[in-house]
Amino acid sequence: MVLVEARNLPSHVGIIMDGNGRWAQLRGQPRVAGHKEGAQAVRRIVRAARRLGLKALTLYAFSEQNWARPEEEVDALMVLLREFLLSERDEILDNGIRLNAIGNLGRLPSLVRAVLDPLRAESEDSDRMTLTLALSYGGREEIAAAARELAEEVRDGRIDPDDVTTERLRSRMPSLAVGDPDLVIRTGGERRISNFLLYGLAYAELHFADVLWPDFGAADLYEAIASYQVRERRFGHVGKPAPVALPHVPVASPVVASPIASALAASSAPITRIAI
Amino acid sequence: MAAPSNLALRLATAVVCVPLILLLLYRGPAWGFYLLVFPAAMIGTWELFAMTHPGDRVSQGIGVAIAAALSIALWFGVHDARTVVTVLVVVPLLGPLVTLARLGSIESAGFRAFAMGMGPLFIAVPMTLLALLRVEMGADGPSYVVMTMMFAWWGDTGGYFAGRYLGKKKLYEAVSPKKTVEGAVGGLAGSVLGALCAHFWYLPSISLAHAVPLSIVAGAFGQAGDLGESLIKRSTGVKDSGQIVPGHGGILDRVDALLLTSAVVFLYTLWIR
Repeated sequence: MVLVEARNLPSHVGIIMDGNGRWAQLRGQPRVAGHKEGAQAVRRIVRAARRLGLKALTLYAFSEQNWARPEEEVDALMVLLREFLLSERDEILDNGIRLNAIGNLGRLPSLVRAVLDPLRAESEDSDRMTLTLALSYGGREEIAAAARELAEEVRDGRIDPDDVTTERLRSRMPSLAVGDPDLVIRTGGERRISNFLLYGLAYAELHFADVLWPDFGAADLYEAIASYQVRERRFGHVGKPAPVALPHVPVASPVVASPIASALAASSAPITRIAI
Repeated sequence: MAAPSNLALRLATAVVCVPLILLLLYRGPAWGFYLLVFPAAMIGTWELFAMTHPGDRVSQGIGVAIAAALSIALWFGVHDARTVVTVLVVVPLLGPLVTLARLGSIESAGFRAFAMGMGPLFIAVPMTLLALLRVEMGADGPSYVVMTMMFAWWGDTGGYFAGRYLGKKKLYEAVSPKKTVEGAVGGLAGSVLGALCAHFWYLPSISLAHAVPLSIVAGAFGQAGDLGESLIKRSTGVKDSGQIVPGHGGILDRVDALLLTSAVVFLYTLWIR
């Protein structure tokens, strides 16, 4: 069982939910069956993230490029999305979750917008956790849109070309309103970013899980977070010096020999682990 | 066990209360149930301290105040590990110190010190978890609460009837002279029936493979909780812990099994589901 250290949690976690189609194919079922099971995994992971106390969870639900999939699969995904939003409405509102959506939302069918927009508005003031659904989303598209916005401001004389800084660009990215992602997980075994959160990824830790998304459970999320917690994030700076191997001293040193000291060393080595 | 005339009063009370609880659960706002649970937990806590600290109104008040603070802290901060750890450190450690200021008889001071450390947690924590279950489980929340109550109360009812008509062998005479082994088995059957109702009727999202074992574990702990409360009552020389629920005794008599089933079901949703 994987336990998670409660005091060093990533604040913003992004997930590339990959593997629904393969999950279904492995079972000789239509791809839609995999997406249906994937929706269950979303429920599980949102709940686990909330109980863990993450501040933001961004799920890559549908990419700008996914529109190229067969029409019936796209339609089924949209119906599933609508069902998900309807069935999770209570849990989202009752537990202080703010629901947000990023991407080219104008392309979504009205059957989705009709439930998505009111839920976004209703949950606007919640602040326990922000759940962001990336729908019809592309990282390059988001960067281009932000650049376009700044270009318009320059054209209108509101800012100087010199004012186009990384920070200002960042402030125009809806995906980073909850802060840069600290940890991005991709399920399904592939090691790609596939146009997810490109700008914010600069210093994110990446975790690749081989398990297909429909099989991804709370324990897999904990494992990803635990792997994040043991890594040292340096943000381009120099890290702590690596421990230097001491020459072997044949005489038992008193520090090592003391049972109390070794017990203390053993107890202080692992992190305090709390599962909530 | 209650006499037959008492049974009629019990049923009448249930007929009035149960629809109100269901209405609040299924039609009320998610936090509405906590508004019912909170005062009930406080009265139950007060009944407990009336047994452990007889005649000492000040200590009873302090115990209830600690329970109120920790219930509210848990309600708002259950997902913040710092809050949970702080509550679990502060209450059991500082509670016993209250006895230093309210010493009384030195013979019972040790018992009262530990009661002040544990008592605020004993009822307030599981009752708050029950109210959290309503919020936590989204659209299924009300049904999870109903299932938890069925594990406890149908267990009680099954135990009552099985014990009354089949009961021969005493279960634990030193603690609860009227309970029988047959009653305990009937109680478990009542809890399992609750699980079947949940799966086939109002909570289809729980599978039988989960619901039935859960009902047996929760039902068994619920009955142990019932015995545990009897133990405290016997040890402190009280018959019913209160008279607030007509025919049912005090709040504590009604929720003793529910405390344990709530904790079991909440931990199930936390670790397994």
